[in-house]
Amino acid sequence: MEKWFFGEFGGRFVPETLVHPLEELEEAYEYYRNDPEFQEELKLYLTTYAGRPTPLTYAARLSRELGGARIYLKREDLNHTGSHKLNNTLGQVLLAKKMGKKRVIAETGAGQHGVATATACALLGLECQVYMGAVDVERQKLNVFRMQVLGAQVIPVYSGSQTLKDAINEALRDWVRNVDTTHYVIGSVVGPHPYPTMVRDFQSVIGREAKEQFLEREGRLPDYVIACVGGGSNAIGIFSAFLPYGDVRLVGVEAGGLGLETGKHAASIGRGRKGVLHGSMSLLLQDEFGQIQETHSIAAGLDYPGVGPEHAFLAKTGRAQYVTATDEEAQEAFCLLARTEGIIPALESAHALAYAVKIAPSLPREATVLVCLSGRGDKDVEVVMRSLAKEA
Amino acid sequence: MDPLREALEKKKRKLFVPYLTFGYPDVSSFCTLLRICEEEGADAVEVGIPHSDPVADGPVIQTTSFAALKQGVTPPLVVEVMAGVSLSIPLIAMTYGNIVLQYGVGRFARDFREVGFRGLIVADFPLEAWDFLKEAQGLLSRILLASVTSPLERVRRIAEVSEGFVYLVSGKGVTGKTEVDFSALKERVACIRRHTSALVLPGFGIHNPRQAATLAEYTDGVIVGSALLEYIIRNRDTATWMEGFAALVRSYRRALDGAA
Repeated sequence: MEKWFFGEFGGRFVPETLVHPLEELEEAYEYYRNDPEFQEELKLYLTTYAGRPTPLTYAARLSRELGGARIYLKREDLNHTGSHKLNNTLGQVLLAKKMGKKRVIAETGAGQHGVATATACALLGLECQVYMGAVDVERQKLNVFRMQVLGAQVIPVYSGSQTLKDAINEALRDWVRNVDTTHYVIGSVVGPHPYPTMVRDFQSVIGREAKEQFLEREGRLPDYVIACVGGGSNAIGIFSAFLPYGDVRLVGVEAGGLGLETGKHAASIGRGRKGVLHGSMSLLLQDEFGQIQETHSIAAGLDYPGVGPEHAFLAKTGRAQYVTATDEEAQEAFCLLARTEGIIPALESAHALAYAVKIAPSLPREATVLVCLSGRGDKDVEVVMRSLAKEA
Repeated sequence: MDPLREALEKKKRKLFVPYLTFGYPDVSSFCTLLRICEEEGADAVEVGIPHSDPVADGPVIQTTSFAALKQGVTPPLVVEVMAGVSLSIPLIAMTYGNIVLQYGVGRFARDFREVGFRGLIVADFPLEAWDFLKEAQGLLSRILLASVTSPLERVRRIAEVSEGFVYLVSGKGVTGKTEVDFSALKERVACIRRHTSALVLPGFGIHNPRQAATLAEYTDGVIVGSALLEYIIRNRDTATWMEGFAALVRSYRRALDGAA
């Protein structure tokens, strides 16, 4: 049972009906993880289909404008479908196919993971259904349509708060009913073992590439690696390659929403307490009785009351540091990057950027900061437009 | 032998264990419903302590759970209310792990035992996860779920360490929305019988007395939740819904007595 945990976090807290299917998944994953043929096939899709490796971009004008450390961007926004999510869905859907599953289900908040799952299913010829909170269906209509165009069925979830956490609940309920035919593609490093480990492994390609590219460019490792954290899959993906190097400071940026003092945020590490949700022990935003609280972030992809157990562990041990950026700071970073570099980042990624913007001016010119630009911001322009109009 | 099991065995009949969500439709009606269950022949009552994220539950128990939470139901309120209710049948708390962890495992077990609870079912804590609930030992019987998807070797292990009874999930699904998988169920009952003397009660998706009687032919009784709660949801605006509920409980009791 020890390998299910990262220190005191992780585990497998699920209804008994899912225990055996998770054992089967773990076994299959262990097998294919070490199968050169599977890895070769996945690599082929990642290169010839997803467009990997994604570039490392030196943000020259942004760095100059801030007047301190040199900022580099790992360009996951240039991955097919516009975010890092496809790294994981290609891996999991390929695994599902090898396991003989005919049907794939997924949850989605903003729709990025749903689109990435629908894409991988279209590519590999599997049936796909995506659970999405009814509130999110309403505010992310374009992504709902994208999934439908890709041949997936989007199922609105009307229970609970009708957002991401409820979509995960409903996907778990579906999986309980259909375990024989169905694989559940979880979109982040959350959920019961083996998900946090498996999703990390599929996302670790970000870190492997970034480390190699950075070494080639700078001849040394970065001083800071910064990534946004909702569930935390892009962050774990990029952190994984730098974990052994104690000199590299790892920083996860959670959604500060309207400010931690307002209670309207999604800072599960910053303000959460230990507890169990969606199959694992982690840090959660919950009331004193263990009921899960509603969260707020301008970035739908960070709007989640829990966090991957490995992040809770890295926070506890101090190997990584976790901070927050508010909605406003993220929006400013969003506009700043667009203006100085010609890159419109996802609002999620803009949180990571906001922290880089905050620290860069006080760092020396020799210092380097690597930011994981986890996705592109086309999906967010409407949100930012409305928000800026409100301020004006 | 643990006291819950002893109490159930003393009944010497097929067991009927209804499930009610605490505080649904409201606290005072809930207390009346408990009394009705006792009077109409329930052998124990499972009391659902609501959670905001009930992943093992179908639409009916989700509805009753959210309604109860909206009215401000909390574990301390359950203890406070139940302290004033005295019943001749044991109560079993059914909830999710995080509710127990946040209350404090030892404190939960002591407080709930004090007000009439004898068993604990945690829907999202399989056998291995009970390592986190050790402090409840000796206070509340550890009732484990086995499922039609559990391999027989695992079913055996579960039955060996489950206290009170083995809660056998009757098919693949969530509460109220499960189609009973008779062949897988029978195979698991046979396995439990072969290796242990544990009581076996199927639950999930049992929705009428006839079906209950059929299942009771080769088990020790049944657990019925969603079917009862759905009746309440549909009828609670009528003047005679409590009588109707009593008649429904009675019909399960009779069907089970007929199966004995």
